[in-house]
This record gives sequence, structure tokens and C-alpha cells, in this order.
Amino acid sequence: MNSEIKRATGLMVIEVVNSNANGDPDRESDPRQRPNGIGEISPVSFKRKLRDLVGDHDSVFYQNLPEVYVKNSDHYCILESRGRDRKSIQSEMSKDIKNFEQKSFLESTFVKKYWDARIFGNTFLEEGANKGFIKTGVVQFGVGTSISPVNIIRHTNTNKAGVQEGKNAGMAPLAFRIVEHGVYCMPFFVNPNYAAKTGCTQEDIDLLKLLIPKAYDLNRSAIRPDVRIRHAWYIEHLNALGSCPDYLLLEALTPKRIGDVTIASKSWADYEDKTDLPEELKAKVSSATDLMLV
Amino acid sequence: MVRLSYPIAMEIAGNTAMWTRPDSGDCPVSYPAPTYSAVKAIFESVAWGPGVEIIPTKVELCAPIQYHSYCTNYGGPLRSTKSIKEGNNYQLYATVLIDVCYRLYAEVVPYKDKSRLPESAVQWDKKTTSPGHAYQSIFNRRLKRGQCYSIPTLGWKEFTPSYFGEFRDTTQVLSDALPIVIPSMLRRVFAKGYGSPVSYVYDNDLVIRNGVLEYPQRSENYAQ
Repeated sequence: MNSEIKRATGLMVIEVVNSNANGDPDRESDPRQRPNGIGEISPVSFKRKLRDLVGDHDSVFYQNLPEVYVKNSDHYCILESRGRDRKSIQSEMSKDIKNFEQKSFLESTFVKKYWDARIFGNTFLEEGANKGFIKTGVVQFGVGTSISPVNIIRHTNTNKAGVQEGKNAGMAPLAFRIVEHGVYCMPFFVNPNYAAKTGCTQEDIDLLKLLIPKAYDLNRSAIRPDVRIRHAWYIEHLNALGSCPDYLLLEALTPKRIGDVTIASKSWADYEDKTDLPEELKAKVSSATDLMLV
Repeated sequence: MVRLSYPIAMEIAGNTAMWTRPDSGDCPVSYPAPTYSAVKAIFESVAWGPGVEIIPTKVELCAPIQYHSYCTNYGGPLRSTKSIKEGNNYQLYATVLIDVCYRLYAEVVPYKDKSRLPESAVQWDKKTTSPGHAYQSIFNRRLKRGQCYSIPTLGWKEFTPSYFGEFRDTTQVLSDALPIVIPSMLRRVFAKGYGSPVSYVYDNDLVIRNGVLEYPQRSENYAQ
């Protein structure tokens, strides 16, 4: 076990304003929504934004990270990226992929190179390879769901310059699909007991803590102009097994809907914010930080 | 009299769950209740004991079954060679459960075949006179404190629990629910326990009756 890393419970409180925080490929990129109207953000979507921030070593953001990351950028590559060369990745794992040996795996180029493989684990599976190379990650993001149901607004996009031969204007019916307003909560967890298996280090976790506050700010788009992380709580436990039940921490930091919880909210003022842990819970943990204020 | 098995139980709830039916292929669909091996893994994520085997006995459904379409872009290794070569994603369509709550039950028995255990586990086992009893005590202690080796998951790792712990007074078993028939349910993939080779075992003709799914007893699990 990597004794540097502490077990942690996290909670992101995400406010979505006239934006599509996460489109559903199964419903023409409508904002994700459950049958009961509750909005949804997949962990896959959020982790992609973190990967994109780390993967672009030339960006202003990356170049302004602490020196340890800028100087050693070859240790912060992204495994889950387009155009990867499977053969070369395989050779980075081991000379002999039929057999797995934990110690030599930890010393491999693969472990040194890919931040997302160290932190989220990997499912990199090659024919004939030993399944020991597949790893469960240290950091685990859960599904984000909105506190109240969300209203979805669908508009048609118009284009002054035609996109078809012989037309001087164009339309994309119902292409602009947004959530009017919603507050979502997404939990995440740090399991230090897996660090010794993936090679995850404290520097990797520190980088994650620097990335989370920027995940939406640095990934804005026409359909996602205003997604605000109101809080990114990061609570460290006193030991590797945990010193306080997670659900107590998550419940204590989830904003409370004022009024009818079954009706979509209109603004942040429709919620009672939670700005700190109650004292009795604080006493059970090592620290409770809002990464947005660090 | 020496007891051979010790009961353990816990409650788990969350906003999303996936107990994959293997017959649903690359568009996975969930069973309405966790499989035998999923229940076992949930208990093991709280505490794993090298000298014991956890044998799930039953699960109680405490929230109505609701299915939901959960589709994500997938860029992983299960894509076709052509997709990988061209750097294309595909959509992974899954039918998951939402807003679930279960009460899980199991028996803990001494582990029969210790030959496959790692040396550290064998050493731990040698120091324990009653591994089943020891496991039960450690498990209950951890559950009360909210401790675990890793956060238990509701099937997939991204489906994290909103609650796991002792039974809550407010939870009600769906005892008036209509029966749900499960013609075939994957029981285990590694049927002979720790470190064993892949060997699929199915339970057939299961029924969730009055909100309760009982896993059939199989003699090979129990210590002699």
C-alpha cells in the first residue's frame, strides 16, 4: 500500500445553467435525463475532461502547473487517447505479456508514462496477454444526478451560410438542447489500497485536485457555455480504511432544495448551500477542503 | 459445539446499478437483483478474509425495479480492430437499474482449499483459531464505522453507493411485490474460489418472491 495517499471522499456540486453538461448519444445528444426527470452526468464524461486537460502538454493551463508536472510531462501522458499505437503500448507494459509480475510492472514504462492508467486503472487487453495487467484504479467517480428534475429546452440552430449546394441558409432542427437550470451532485472516492497495484502516487492525486476545479471552465463549448462547479469537496480520512461513513459526509454537503423538490429549479437561490461539514463529522476526518477555494 | 458458519448482512443503496446478464452481449442488460458473485464481492470489498469463504444466501429488494437506458461513448479495447486503427469510438448501450436498495445476506465458512492462497494469507490463517468468527467480528466492526478496503460498487465501478452499512430502520423490503422469474442467472465465473480458473456456473429457474431472491445452496461451497 502507498502510505502517502490517504483515503478520501469527494463530492462535486455542479450547477448547470442553460447548458448541456452531458449529452446522451442514445437520444440525439439530449441532456441525460432519467424517466423521473432527474438529470444525469456520466463519470465517463467527467473523466474525459480531466484526461483532456492532462493530455495537452502545450496548453497554457498545463504549462502553468507546478514544475514537477511540467518538467516531467512524459510521466503524464494519457492512455485513453485517439490514435494510440497498441503494439508500442504493449511493449511498454512488458517484454513478455503472457506472464505478469507486479514488481516489474511497477517499474515499466507503461506505469511511469500514463497518468490515467495509474489513477483510474486500465482495461488494456491484448490477445494472449496476462490479465494481471488489467488494473482497478485508485480514483472512482460516481454518476452525477440532479437534486430536482430538470427542464430541457430544445431549439433549432440556423446557419446564415448554407451548408448544402444551391442553398444560402441552413437549419439544424432541435440541435440546441440544454438544461434550463439544475444542480447536480457527483461523488468521487480515493481508494489508497489500490495504489500499490497501479503505481499511483501522491503527485498523481495532487494533480487530480488541481484539475477538478478547471474541468468545465477550460472545456466550454457552444452547447456547454455555463457549467459551474460550486463546490468540490475533498475529505481525507484518518486511515486507509476510512474513519467516517461516506454517506454521512455526502449527505451533509449536499445542498438542500428550498420548496418543492419535485419541481425544476430556476436559480442557485432555490437551494440552501452547505459551506462546511458539521463539527461532529469534522472531528472524524483528517481534513475537509473545498478545492474551488484552494 | 464448534460452529461452521457465521451469518453476515448489510444494506446497500445507490442511484445506478448494473448486474450484467451475460446473454445480453455487447449491449449489457441488468438482472433485477445482484448475482451471487456480485454480492460476494460487495462483502469482500468491506473485508476479505484469507481463511474464509463468503457464501451469499439471499438478497432482499427494498426499492422498486426501474430500468434505464445508459449509453456512453466507448474508446476501449473491445472495439473492432478497424475502429481501433481509425481511432473511432462506438456507443456502449446498457440497460441499468436506477434508485436501487438491497439487503444482502451471507454465511462465512472456513476456506476449504488453502493451497492457492498467497503465503501472507496462509500465515494470517495459521494465527487464527476460528477464521469464520474472526471475519464476522471484523466485518461487523468495519460496517458500523463505514470502513472498507475499497468502496463497494453496484456492479460497475462507476456505480457508487449512496449508502452501505448496517440495516436502516427506514428501509422496507418489497414484500408485496409481484414475483419475478429469472430463468437463468450467472452464479460465478471463478467457481472454485480464490485464484481458480474460469469456470461458469449458472443457477436456473430462480424466482424473486415477496421481494426475496434466495441463492440455491450448492454443496461444494460448504466446509466439510
